[in-house]
Amino acid sequence: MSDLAIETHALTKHYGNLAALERVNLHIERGSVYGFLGRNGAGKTTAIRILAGLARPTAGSAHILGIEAGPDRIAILQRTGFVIDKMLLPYMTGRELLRFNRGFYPAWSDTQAKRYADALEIPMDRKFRKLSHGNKTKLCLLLALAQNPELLVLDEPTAGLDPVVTDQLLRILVEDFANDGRTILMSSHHLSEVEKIADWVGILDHGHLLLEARLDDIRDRYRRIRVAGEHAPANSPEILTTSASEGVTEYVLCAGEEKFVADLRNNGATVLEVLPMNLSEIFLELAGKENRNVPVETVA
Amino acid sequence: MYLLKQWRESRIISILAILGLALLLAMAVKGWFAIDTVNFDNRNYHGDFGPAFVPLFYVEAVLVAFWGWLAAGIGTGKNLGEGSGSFLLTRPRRRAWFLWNDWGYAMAQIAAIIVLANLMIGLLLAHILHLMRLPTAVPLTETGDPVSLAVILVVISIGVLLFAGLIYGLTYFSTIILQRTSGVMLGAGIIVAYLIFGGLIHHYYSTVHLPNLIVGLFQVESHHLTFASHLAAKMIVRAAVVMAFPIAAQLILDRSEI
Repeated sequence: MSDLAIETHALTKHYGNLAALERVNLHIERGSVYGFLGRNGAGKTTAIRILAGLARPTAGSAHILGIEAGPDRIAILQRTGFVIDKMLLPYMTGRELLRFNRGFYPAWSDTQAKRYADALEIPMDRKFRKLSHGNKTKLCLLLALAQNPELLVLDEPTAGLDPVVTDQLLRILVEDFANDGRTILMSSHHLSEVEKIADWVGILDHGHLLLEARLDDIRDRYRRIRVAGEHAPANSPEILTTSASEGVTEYVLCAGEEKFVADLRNNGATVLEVLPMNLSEIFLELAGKENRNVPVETVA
Repeated sequence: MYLLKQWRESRIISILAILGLALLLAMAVKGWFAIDTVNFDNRNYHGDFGPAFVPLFYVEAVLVAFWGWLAAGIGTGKNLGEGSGSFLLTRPRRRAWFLWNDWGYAMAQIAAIIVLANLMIGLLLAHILHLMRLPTAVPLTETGDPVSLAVILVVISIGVLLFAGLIYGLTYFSTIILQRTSGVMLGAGIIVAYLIFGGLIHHYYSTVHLPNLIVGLFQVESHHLTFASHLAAKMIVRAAVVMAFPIAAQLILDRSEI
């Protein structure tokens, strides 16, 4: 059995001339919480729709729980909970939706459904279309959780939710699901939430995967270094970005901080600061710049 | 489980059908007792009542097909339009499973409507014939052999089912193409366009007839109404056409991006 819950190989999706995904290689370990980051239109939802079998790739392949997406879609859907559009059957109440959904899943748990409904305070007798945005999202998540999946794929689950509801959802995802050794893929552009629960992140921009790394490795290895003058060692693959203003050059490094600093000093540079970076800063460096020629970076 | 969804989505038009059948039942009961007070004298009855089945067939076919057209606005096409398609189609079933469930449920309802309506009509007609002391059989074959009322109503039922099934299938197919309920308007447009096109073709080339949307069950031979010739073969061909629409819808749905 593969150690990867999701693996894509050169996954590509074009809509006419628009490349929504371009040779994306995802590697999502079993038992991990994977934050799938990107700006609006980066291609996150397209990737998730391909994984769910709602869209077909132009090229490349995807394996979910060791099963190739596409040919054996049913086997994947039996073991995976997808929350994509947050739109259920609008005329049904929460209770009716539970009854509807139950029959599709052999591992369905009424006990869990009831527990989540109580914990999340969802009005189960109200029709879906009459629920607030937050309650709609909670109900979608409840249905996915109660089917007892091995893998949960969530497309921007916290978008438009207030902080209290967001906290409730994230708490359940981590405490009830991820701590049980199951895998979560969660797309978002709320970096602080991802940073709170994810152990892996992938950053997608304009259909390209710019970074896939363990969050701890990012914290340990990514550095912002400010130097007086321009003394960068030649051919440093660790440099993600470089910017200079008023005689101060700023480097963002993805690894090799000590050697890089030593090389700078050997070149006669004055190193002003070496700062650790958080996810938000790294995201802005990668996805917030107009320079797209950033290589795919995998920090193992 | 899926039956719950189907009932919840279609219950308004199901209630419409039930009301229609209830109205028909009320009329049949009223007619039943009203006819009891009429003093029939079958000595004055010279022809057969076969021609009465022609308007019955066409009126029934149009009414039931209209219901089929309404029913086609409900199902997977509607779900895709209202945004719940990604939820529905990520349940662990083939897309065809949803489509054929929709089709089966609607056709079962159409069949139930036809059977119940024709049962009431048949009982009323049998009662009238009994009061008139006439046999419950009509010479509708080319050889003039009598055909029982029950057989005639079964043939009419199949004819109505095929027409309503055609309208339902075509309209449902349109909702899948457009991925929204407004596909029913496309379906209606295709039907109207077909009728206009058929009329124009016939106007300019009087020998050319496009196939009728309704299978013609009857024909007039020497001023005598009979079942249409090769009726069974025509029905089999029409059944194949009726089945072509859900099959085409399945092919499109399987290839659609949601």
